Amino acid sequence: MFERSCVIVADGAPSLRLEGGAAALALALSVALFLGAFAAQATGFTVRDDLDRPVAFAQYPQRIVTLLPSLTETICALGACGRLVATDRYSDWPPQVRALPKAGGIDDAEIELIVSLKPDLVLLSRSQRITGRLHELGVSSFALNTDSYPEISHTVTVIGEILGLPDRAKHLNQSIGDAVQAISARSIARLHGNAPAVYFEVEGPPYAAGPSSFIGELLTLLGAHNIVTADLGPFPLLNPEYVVRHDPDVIFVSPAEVARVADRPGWDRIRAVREQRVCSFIPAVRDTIVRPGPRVAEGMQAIADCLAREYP
Amino acid sequence: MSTLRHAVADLGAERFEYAASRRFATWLACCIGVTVLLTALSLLVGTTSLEDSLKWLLSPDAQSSVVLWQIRLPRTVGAWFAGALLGLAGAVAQGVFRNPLADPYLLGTASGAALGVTVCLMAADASIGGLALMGQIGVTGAACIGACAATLLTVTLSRGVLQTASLLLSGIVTAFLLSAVTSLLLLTKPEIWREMQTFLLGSTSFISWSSATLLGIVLCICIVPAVLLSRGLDALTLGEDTAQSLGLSLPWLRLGLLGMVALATSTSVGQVGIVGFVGLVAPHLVRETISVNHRQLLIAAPLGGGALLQAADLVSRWIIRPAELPVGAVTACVGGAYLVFLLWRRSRDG
Amino acid sequence: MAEARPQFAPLPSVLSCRDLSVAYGSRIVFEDVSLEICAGQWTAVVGPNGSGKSTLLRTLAGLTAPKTGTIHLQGLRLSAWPRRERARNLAWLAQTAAPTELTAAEVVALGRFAHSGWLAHRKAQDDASMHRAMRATGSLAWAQRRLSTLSGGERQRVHLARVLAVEAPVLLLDEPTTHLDPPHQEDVARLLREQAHRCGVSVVSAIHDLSLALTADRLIVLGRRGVVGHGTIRDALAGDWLSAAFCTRVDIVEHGGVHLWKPALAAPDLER
Repeated sequence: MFERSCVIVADGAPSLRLEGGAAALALALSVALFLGAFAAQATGFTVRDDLDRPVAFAQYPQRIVTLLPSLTETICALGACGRLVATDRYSDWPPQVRALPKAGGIDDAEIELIVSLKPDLVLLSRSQRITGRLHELGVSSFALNTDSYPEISHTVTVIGEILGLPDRAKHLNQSIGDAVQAISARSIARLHGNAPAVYFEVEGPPYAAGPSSFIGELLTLLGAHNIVTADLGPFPLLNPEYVVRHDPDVIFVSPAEVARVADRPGWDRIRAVREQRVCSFIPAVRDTIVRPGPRVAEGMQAIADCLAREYP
Repeated sequence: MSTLRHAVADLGAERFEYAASRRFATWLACCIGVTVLLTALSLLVGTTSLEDSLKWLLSPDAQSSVVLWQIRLPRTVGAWFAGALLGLAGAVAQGVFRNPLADPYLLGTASGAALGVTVCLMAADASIGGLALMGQIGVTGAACIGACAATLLTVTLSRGVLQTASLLLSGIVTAFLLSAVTSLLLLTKPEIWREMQTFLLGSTSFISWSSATLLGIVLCICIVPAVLLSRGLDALTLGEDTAQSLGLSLPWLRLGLLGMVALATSTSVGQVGIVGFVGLVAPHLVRETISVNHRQLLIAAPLGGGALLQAADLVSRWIIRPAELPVGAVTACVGGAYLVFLLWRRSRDG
Repeated sequence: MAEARPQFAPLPSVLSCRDLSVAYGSRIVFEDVSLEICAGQWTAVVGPNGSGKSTLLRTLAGLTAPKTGTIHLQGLRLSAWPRRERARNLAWLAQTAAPTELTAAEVVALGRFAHSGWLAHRKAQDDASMHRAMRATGSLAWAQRRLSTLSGGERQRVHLARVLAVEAPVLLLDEPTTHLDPPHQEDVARLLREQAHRCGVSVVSAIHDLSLALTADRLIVLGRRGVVGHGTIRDALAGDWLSAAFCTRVDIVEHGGVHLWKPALAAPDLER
């Protein structure tokens, strides 16, 4: 209780003067608040992962293992690369993660290696089956699903929350969003309202990228018109005559198929094939396109560049 | 021929003609009829509705003729040839091994082809030189080479073609060995898995006129010696020893026939991937419905196999159009259903 | 076991073997067998189960390679014969027939394989041989029927017709009378005798029915460890080869000019 000494001055104006006691109390309060903040950090927090499990954290994880390249890239983009102790074998960006121990692939993660590194947290995708095993062994795991463009910002935010870097996460999301917006706007402006019909073939015989896939979303953002319709799903196995009938302006295939596309029966009549408007990406660039992560803008730029080249 | 008739008539005997039974002729007519029908249907089936396809046929334009004559027709013709090759190879394999459930892949050709394709894809991925090589021989060539190599391995392991049992065993060993190697290779480069999948499940999507022609030529090359050697297969049904005592050269017969099986299977696998059950079901079906000697079987089985694969191709194009199912998945369903039917019939008959 | 001295008949020897030993892996079937089969004679091979009757016939037919010894056909080593010629001169009937979907006519036509070849271009001669063979075995009636639809006996007769259709000078028949009822067994015996005496064919048949075997011209008696004896019926009876081969008393009685095997079982008591 605050003590207030009130001196009534003869000329009638009351004045308030904080005594030393009040000051001491204020100090105590701020200390208490400060301590409370610390205590909050010490007592931990819980975040729900994409498998809808509540994962409890005593503190911000310092030793992290990632089992998906896009998650590795996200963590590094947030500046927390130093906290990584191991990644999966496909993570190769930024270059410094290549020196880290590799803990296997998507379906064959090396449990022994992971456990021996005593990580605070293992980040993986929703579909990996190793979560149960890790739980039994007392290793904390967190599942994150990033299959589409909107999920990227969600992933970044959640990882920021987990790492205790919410501001950086927000900043990253902002910059990704801005970059994507810029590329998209440039591309659409360049096209002057024309929407080139595109066909994007994912590795291997004609699995096409539909509009609901990540790649399809990028294509839509760039103002292109995907000949695959949304009802066919994200990666339909198309009848080749479908592509012939829809006669895309630009087609994207893997480098190995570029030379052989014209040999496919009937495909030599497709506009894109006749006029050599075939795009393909080297593996390093392809990675930026197929990994929904912080480098999405790079990937998108690559597609946009090729589109600009082949469809001026 | 007339002297023969006189001589026979003189002896007051019946005619000794091979029973060109009515049922055989019926089967031939049925198969040809079904083939014609399916070919016509296949022009209509694809990514468009039947009405639209019909309109195309009646009033063609540049694009529709490409779809009809460059994509749909070669696809169905190629599928027929591939199915015929598999049916022929299956009939011969069943005759040589005297096992009505033998299939043309039992020399290990399927695993060999898969390994060939894996190596080719890995080489293409690994280096520019590999890419150039792949461009040269392509997946089809690699599959063919792999299948032939697997057959050679089988024959080497069984030390010649003398013993049927050891050939069978070697075929199984080869199949296992080569699939193990393929799996190991795929582990090191799982990205190839998706491309492999289409091959492993069979696909008639990209059959062009050149593929169909190749398949047709190989069919002609294979069927002529097969029919000529069919009498040897007939003799084999009496038992290996009896066949030998009749003056048959078993090693040469087996060598010739198995070589033909290897050629037929590897060509088919190269073009359409690994399509199962056609080589098993076609000859088996012929034998169940009409009893024939081998000369008739080696004509009836290819006709049946061709129609079967044509039908499977149609179904694969139709069911989830404009997407399509791998044709091997369709033949697996059909083959599986057929075997279940056989089992049911057997249990019903006691 | 010492074998009786082979009786060299005045007729030429068509098929002969010297010091023949056959073994399956380490199991010796018989050793040091020397035989002469003469033209125009029907020789029956008898012996207990497992004595190697089938093996002997298979080896003589050139289907099993002997461990040691040589076989001569018409004076030439068996291995030196070209395959087709040998098939034209030596026909073999298996003990058990594999099931087949062929018609009877097709099976018998296969007997002419060594003559007509792969393309089955049948000449009048082929048809005549086939007809003769089928008539002789009484299988003409079901020429167009599939073997799987015939009874065991009918099938056997078709296979017999096939062997006859080869018109080879040497016939090696393993149990030609299986599945046949007694009248047909007698028919076969008569047929074989006719082939031997009238057509000059050398017939060697393994027959398990002793009474039937004893109607042949000559006998080869196989015991547990090789040939017990080889000669005429009279020689066999005089030397009691059969008892030696079967390791037990075998009674042969003669009745109306025919030798019969008398079972040692007591006659059934009809009063019971």
